[in-house]
Amino acid sequence: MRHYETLFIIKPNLSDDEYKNIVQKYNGILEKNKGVIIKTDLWGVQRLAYLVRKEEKGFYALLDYCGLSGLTAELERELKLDDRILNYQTIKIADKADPAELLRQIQERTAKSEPAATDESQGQPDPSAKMKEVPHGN
Amino acid sequence: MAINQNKRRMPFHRRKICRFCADSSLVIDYKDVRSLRFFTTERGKIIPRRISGNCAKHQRVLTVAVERARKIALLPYTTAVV
Repeated sequence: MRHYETLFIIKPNLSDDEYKNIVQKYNGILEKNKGVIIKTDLWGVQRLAYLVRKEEKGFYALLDYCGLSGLTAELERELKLDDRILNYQTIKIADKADPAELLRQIQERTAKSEPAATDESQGQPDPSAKMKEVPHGN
Repeated sequence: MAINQNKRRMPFHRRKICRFCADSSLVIDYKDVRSLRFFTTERGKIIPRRISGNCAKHQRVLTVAVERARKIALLPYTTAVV
């Protein structure tokens, strides 16, 4: 599998829910086409360096994923058709990548940063663990 | 001739080190606008190697990074004429 990263700009002046829905839609497309999502990053509304479709600002979203070669073509086709997307760019990070390995690396990184962040309140990791279990129970 | 040239260049000569070679922890990333801005002029042009002191390898990587950042509107191609 190849490791890709797509950065795209959504129109400003939409609500937070709409942004989340848009990003979820593209995550869904990735999953439907046998892609493995490694990370999604919402940068929020930022000033653009130049006008894009007469917009001064835009909402940046980053998708980090692994997939086969046809995956980016499908994702970019959808992005192109969407009026709310101002611009997009896909970068190939690696030709051969193991998604499981990448996911593990991210987990390790968050595990390292979490103890440092939760030094003051040690009770925090437990509630979050319980929260994750609840949806499974239902 | 050679002596002459040396004399003329002496006052300006300063040894430049590629900062990416000196510090291997620095990664050139098109998403890291703040550090890329360091290698562009106020107008948005890429600063040449002879001024920034980068080595050829890292200047090439940097150029690609700046171009990618420009494409996705993180960096300007140019600024408007004031």
